Amino acid sequence: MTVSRITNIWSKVHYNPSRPVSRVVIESTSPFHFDAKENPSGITLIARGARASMYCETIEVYDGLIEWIRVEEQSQGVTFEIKTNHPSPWQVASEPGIPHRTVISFVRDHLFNLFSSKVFVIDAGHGGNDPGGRGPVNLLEKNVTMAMATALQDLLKPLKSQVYLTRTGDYPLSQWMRCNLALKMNADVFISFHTYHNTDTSIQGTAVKYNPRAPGCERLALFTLEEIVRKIKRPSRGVEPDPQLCHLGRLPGVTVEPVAISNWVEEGLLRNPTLYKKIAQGIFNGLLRLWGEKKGEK
Amino acid sequence: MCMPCYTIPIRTHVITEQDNIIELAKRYTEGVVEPGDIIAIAESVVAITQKRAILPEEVQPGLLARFLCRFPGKHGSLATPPAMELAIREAGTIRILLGCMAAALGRLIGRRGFFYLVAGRELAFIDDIAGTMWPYERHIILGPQKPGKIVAAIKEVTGADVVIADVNDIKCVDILAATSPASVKIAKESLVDNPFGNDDQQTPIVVIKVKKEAQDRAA
Repeated sequence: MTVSRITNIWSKVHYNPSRPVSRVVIESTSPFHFDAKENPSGITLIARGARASMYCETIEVYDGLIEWIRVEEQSQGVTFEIKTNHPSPWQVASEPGIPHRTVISFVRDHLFNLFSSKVFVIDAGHGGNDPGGRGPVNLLEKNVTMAMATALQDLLKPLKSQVYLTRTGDYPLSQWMRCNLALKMNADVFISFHTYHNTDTSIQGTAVKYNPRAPGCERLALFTLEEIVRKIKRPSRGVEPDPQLCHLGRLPGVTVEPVAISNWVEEGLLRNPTLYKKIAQGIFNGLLRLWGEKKGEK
Repeated sequence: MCMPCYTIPIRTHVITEQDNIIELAKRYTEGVVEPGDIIAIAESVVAITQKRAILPEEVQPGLLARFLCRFPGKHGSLATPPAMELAIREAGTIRILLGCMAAALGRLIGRRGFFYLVAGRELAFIDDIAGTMWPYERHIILGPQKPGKIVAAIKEVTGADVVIADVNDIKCVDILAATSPASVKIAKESLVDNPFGNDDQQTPIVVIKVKKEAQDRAA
């Protein structure tokens, strides 16, 4: 009998119409026998008798449920330790083919419960005759902020959150109009997207600003910053109060500057569509940490 | 006729200039590749192992590079001064200027691609600050050197046909080098969905199995 070779592992959120799941997919040259058991921080699956052709390491996921996957080759086979941030129902299925796929699905119901009642107002900075910053090659801030806002909207919509965009096209809006929408909709949080811009093109990295009038908003900014940095692997430029958000009163609001558009490298990063998804996921994870923490306190 | 194939991407460590691509291809495909299969390798990692990933801040673009980088498409590979400077160093000033003249002529008659035809095909494989493949997302990656020699050396140690390919997410597959004409055709068809990935998938080595042979072996 030929030994099954593990060749690859990947993870993706799959949006079933009824129930979104996090899928961890193990690819191998042929099926293998496995033992899967639950532990306090996730599950462990052992592929009995299999060998790893892939590189064994810890793979960061941070999709709101799965934190990381540790792959190790041991004498009894290949072990997959999947760390989750919340207990979640799971199941294992096989998908025959070349490569053979062993799929572990985790139900994301707790995220649905946490986010479905929330109201978000998402603001794409600048617009119309106000292009914002311009990249050294050609990107405009008003366009990349729109892509960021849309990516966050796409992430939140399947969780049945109420999401409102301050602008849906290329037109200018005053800061008052942007903040007023959040107040009118009684939003749980206002998230404004910008990029940093400076004549010093060496400045790079992520910063998050917060509404200094909203209690606890600095913590939201800090979590958001940490999670974005973790996802997009850029240096941190820290958190600071944003006087422009004072219009919101006590409503929590953050201004997110994931990258500096004036930096050659970071303008290059903005050309990759997956960057926008990672930024959205970072913000989502920041909110999850804050609201999860508050829920735990209750 | 379309040849049905299976692709098996293999997750590797983050490949750096410390690695030897021939040794890596042998190690990662061992037990996976069988007679009749093809090993496909992403051109960018071959270039990285050849120390051809360069930080833009380490390049001092000259006046010519600063001027010429204004003309290519802004989403193309030579839109920044450091990338254009590296292209000038690769091809030489004269070839670049001839390429520019050819490109200008091409514009007049409504044809594209004349620049690379004259200045050199290898310049088309320069990845300007690509924003993908951490930690090389902030590098300019030049095309690999002597790809023909590399595929031959990998074939020698693995026994399988080998291709080095440049694939993107808009279904363009360029084969830089291959050990047989048949493998070029098969690789072009089977890599079209970019199994190498365009982000942090870490799967720069793909084993291609031709469907009929793989099914026969499985039976």
